[in-house]
Amino acid sequence: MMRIIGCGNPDRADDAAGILVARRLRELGLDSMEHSGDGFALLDLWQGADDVVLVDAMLSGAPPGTITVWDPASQPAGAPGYCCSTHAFGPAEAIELGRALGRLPSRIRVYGIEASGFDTGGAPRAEVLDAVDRVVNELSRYRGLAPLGTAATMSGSEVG
Amino acid sequence: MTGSNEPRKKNGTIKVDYMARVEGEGALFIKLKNDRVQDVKLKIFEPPRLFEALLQGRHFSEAPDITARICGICPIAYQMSSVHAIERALGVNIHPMVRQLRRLLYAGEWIESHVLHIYMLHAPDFLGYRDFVELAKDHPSEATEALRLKKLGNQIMTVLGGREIHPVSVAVGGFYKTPAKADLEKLTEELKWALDIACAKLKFLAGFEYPDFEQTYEFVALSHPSDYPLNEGRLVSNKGLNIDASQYEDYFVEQHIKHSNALHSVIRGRGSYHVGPLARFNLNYSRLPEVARQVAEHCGLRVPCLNPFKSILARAVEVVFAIQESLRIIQSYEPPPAPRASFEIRPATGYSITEAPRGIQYNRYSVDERGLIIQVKIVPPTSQNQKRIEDDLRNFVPSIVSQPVEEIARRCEQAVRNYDPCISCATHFLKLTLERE
Repeated sequence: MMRIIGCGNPDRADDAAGILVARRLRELGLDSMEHSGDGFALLDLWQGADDVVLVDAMLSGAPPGTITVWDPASQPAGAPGYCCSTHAFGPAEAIELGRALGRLPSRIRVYGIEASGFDTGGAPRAEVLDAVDRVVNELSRYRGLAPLGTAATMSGSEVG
Repeated sequence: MTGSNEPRKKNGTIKVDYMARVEGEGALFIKLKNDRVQDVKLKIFEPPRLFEALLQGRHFSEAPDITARICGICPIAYQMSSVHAIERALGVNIHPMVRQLRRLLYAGEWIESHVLHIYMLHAPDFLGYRDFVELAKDHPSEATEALRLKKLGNQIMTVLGGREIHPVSVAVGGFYKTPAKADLEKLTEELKWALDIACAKLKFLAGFEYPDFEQTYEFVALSHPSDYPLNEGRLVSNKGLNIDASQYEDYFVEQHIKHSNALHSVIRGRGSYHVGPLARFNLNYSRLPEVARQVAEHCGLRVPCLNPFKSILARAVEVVFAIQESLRIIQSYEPPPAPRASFEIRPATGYSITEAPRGIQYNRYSVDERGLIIQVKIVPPTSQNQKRIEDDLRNFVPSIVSQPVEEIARRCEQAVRNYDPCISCATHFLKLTLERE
């Protein structure tokens, strides 16, 4: 079963990217989840799924709206920033913890949408919204994506 | 986020840009002269949160939901303290079953917060790991069980509070909605599993190597005639303090410290004091359920325990307590006749102290005849422990001063974590600077 999880905060400008992808997919009748990105909960969210796609805003220094796709199974998710604070235990740390505990789905891909601004209450910039459209177009063509309502759909606040 | 976690030496100053595994952001500065400690500063540089001012002019009914936003780890502590203070101001008597439900909700937060700190933040110190992910590679069963325990705490909060972070059910007078007995009974099987695991894992924790370090503390905690304290009781200490919440400001004072945006709280004329699991354990041992006393005895944790590094064991004993207490409450639960009590609004001031996972939290609320909040004072546990943390470091560093700088830094970070400081609550990273002359 395939599961798409859009991570982020809809009220923090470009950080809404993953959430917007999940919402657009559901508008197209395709199942997807929204999530705050809390790493501990992500481990549970992808349990039972054998093909997981995480969509999240990212910062790599690339131009805003750049889409980076990688396979954490063959490529580390990045240096965990979690060691600094539980406030920063996010998707990258969840992937590494999942790897340590043998709890990674058999297939997992991360779509990173390059962000640049995270101001409170701000709107995502146009380049990020364009990237959201492109990711939605790509993901909506995947075979195996469940129609809306056939898989669990939940909001970040419900899973925390 | 800039900087690295590696200590570095620079012109006689050794820096760790972020101290790992704390809730929030701050910095630690230690100055040594001829291997003697000259100065210790726990710097909390996160800007003030201004919640006390934000609440002024709001209706009292908004207080539990606004104050819950102070912290994502311990929102219940802020909700409980606010409603108890307001209820006391307005003369509200809550139904005994509402009291039990509030203890259950708080127990859920204790489980979630304590397990997070024990396994994910503090245990890596004792085992020499950089973080929980490294620990999980070598101890997968402990890591997996810790995640499941933490999730149980979150589930309790979700069932009672509507969601696990910043729950929305707590109201002045009770709850907006109380659960059906069947809703709570769904938690029973997992709680039974958790009780067995929490007891068994104390042996794992007791096997850690603990620094030989004891201090003469004034432990401060709530004390209740019959219950291990959560929401109510008199404030007591091992040095004779025994006061009502309304007397708190007569005995405790908050001081502005130049190096910190969090206030330093001290006992007037006596100085720093110690709040949290170790204080509660030492002052309330006899109120622990038998199963918790047994596991404490079994792992060698006895009253009085004066070694702050063993706070991790006291915290683990409290996890056992919180699980047992949850089972007890669920077993005896019958829904109250109404979710919340009715009451009249009147201009008044009320006080409360409750036991947040990391220690006592004091609240004072004044409301006017319309129920609008005139003034609020909130003293979070990390403000109360902040000076004590500095005192511990001042006394601990001489015992490790001959060790390499990296090891001194690592040990100091571990010592700060004894108190599970929630820096976000107190005003977020801990940067460590060690300066030698």
